[in-house]
Amino acid sequence: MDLNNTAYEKAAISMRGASHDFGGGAGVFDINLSLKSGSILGIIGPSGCGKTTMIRMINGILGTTTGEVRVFGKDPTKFKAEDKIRVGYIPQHFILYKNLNVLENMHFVGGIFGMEIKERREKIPPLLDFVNLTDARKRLARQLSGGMQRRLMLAGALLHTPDILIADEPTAGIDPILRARIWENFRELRDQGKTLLVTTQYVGEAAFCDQVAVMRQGRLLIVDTPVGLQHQAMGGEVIHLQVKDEIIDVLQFLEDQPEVQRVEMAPGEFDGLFLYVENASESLAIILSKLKEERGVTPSIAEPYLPSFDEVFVKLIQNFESFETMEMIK
Amino acid sequence: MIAFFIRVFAFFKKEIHDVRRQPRLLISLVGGPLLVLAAFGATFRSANPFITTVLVWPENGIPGFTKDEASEFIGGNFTLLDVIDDEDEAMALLEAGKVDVIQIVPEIDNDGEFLSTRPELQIISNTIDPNAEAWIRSLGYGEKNYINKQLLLLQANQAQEKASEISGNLEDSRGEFSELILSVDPDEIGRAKEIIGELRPILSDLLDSLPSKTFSQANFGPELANLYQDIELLADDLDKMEQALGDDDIALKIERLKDITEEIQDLQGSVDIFATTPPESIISPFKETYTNLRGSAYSLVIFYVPAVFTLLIQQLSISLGSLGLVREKEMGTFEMFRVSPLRLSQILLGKLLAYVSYVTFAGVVLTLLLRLINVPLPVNIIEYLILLVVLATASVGIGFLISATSRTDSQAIQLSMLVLLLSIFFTGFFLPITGFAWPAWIIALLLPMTHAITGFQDLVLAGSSVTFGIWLGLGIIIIITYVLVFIIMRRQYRKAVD
Repeated sequence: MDLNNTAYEKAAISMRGASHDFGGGAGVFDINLSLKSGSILGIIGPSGCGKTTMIRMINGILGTTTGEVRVFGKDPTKFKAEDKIRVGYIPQHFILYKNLNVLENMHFVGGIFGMEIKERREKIPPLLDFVNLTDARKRLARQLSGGMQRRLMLAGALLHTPDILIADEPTAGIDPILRARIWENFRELRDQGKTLLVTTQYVGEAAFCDQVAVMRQGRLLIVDTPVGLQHQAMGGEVIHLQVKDEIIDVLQFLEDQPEVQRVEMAPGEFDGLFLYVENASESLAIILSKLKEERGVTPSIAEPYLPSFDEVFVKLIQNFESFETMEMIK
Repeated sequence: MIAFFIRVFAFFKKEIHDVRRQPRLLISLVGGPLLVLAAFGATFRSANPFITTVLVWPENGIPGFTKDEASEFIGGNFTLLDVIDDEDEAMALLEAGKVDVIQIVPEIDNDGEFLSTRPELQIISNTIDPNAEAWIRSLGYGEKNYINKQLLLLQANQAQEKASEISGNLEDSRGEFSELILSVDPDEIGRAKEIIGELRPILSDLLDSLPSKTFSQANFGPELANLYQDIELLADDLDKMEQALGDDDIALKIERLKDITEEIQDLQGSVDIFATTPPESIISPFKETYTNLRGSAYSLVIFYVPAVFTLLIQQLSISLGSLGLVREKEMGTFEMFRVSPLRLSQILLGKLLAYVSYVTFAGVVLTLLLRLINVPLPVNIIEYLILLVVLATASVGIGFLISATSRTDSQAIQLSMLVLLLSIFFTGFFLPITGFAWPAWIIALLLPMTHAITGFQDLVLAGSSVTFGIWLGLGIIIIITYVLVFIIMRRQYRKAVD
């Protein structure tokens, strides 16, 4: 990912050639990214791909073996107390105290950030409202469900009003409804101007992010918007057509059209076609018109196709592996 | 600065809530130690080992003892199961493990011969317990001394009776010699030979009734030594008189008669002293007196309470401290703390304050409850509380050190148990530290309990103050442990993740 200096310096979080090598091939390598304030960056990748290591480098727990990491323009391993209170962190596992109730846990977190009791008393109730835990405020943490524990962690991480929230797989092991609720919280925070860095194993959650970074084997494959990611995965935009008769003739006809980059049979359909074009909405009307006028064919289905992020992710990995193979052959 | 204390207090409060929400831990904190102390107070009877014995008593007994007297005496030291007269039967009981010790008393005739033959009191055991063996040997030694004393008393009594009888004979002889001196008749003086002939068997009789001279020198008082000396002098004078009787010099004969009369008088004096001196003084001239300036020592239960109390307080503190940090490591909370402005010193201080508060509370409750078993309250309450807090601080430091070097809570618990073992053996809890070689003293000095036991005994039992050495010892432990904990934990805290 190319970063110009101005964008790099103004970014809330930036990494340039950052690596942390654990040895034996483990670690993260040559990470370049920049995250502007007030946006959500989702880091997607399979388990063990280096997401947590990258997060630990960003929050200063791990240093870099090469390259550099900057948060608010500073090296996070050298953060002073005033820098640390600008960052909120939700680790992967629940690490608050199960023998303390929700309110006591919140006061504890506020305490370690040096917040006075009056300030805590003002800020805790709205935060518990925000994460829907007001009714459970007297309940011991061990009596909370997994989703409630995650939301308690979120509330704790937000208590000292950080500018950046770093969340390591906050939705792991949680049912879809709660996951949606947590993402709703994140988007609200983004709308309040916070910068969020969220790792997830759920590829579909990429849709909730402003930018998505895809990781594999300790390397960042790509960073883009969700739409851009779909674009890159499919090699352009896709139109889905279904024609009842003469599908081979139609396929050959469409391949000769200048708007169409290539045509493929739609997977799992005997009468479906995928047309790869530059701009699906613009090309769709032209193609339909040509089909009717020149071939007398009216497709039963004709629409821009939005691939699922699972599909996008698989496609990206396949593309990357093909690229790697080609590089090796060269 | 305010933020510093807010962070410390956050940890303090967290630990208070955390412990409070664990009723079992609370029970083990206060109820457990109380039950242990109550059980100790209610059941402790003696620090002496319980040793069973069978006495093999000779059929004809021994002079100076009846069988019942011997049984009563031995029963005071051992648990006497039976008195029999068959050595083989006793040995079979010992070999079968039905008795710990057998004691075989030899046959002794009442003729004084035993004074030279030294008969043997056999004490036989097959114990594997060195402590019990030391007790058996010590009690056996005491028994031997007691029997010897009784036999010597018997001998002394017999000699005194004989001496009283002889004193009259000596009086008669002295009177006759005095008359001879006054008469100045050579024929009468010649009768002295006859009187000497009568006196010699009396002296011989007296010597026979006394214990042998060598034995007496070792076992009897000066009265007997004087008696021997006077007998020798008189015998010498009698010899000289017999020589003088062959001479014609009357003046020399008179002179010898006067010497003999004086010697008889001296001997009679010595005999009278010997005969009238209490026999205990003759066989054992020294007696001891013992005075305890406090009136009397405490009962064993009360005496051991400060040590048990110290052990409980130390182990409570170590348990809390040893789990305090390792659980945070296991939970992974250091990762969260590491990205917060929290410092390691604030974590340690917050936890320390909470644990010391709990332990002090438990210690105060225990102290009050100890009144139920009549343990006195300390005279200086403030000093007592300070010692309790300092002991808790030092012990939590040991616990933190265990926690810092452990990766799991089970490892920490194992190490805590190791400290408990060390404390039982090397702190003077029941084995005196002075009984160990110097390397053990290093271990002892590094355990808070070693210092605090003496401190609590001083405050509670002796009613005195804690000495500077105790404060110094605990202070050094606090410095060493907390510096080490800080060094080790700082490395782990900076790393935060494995």
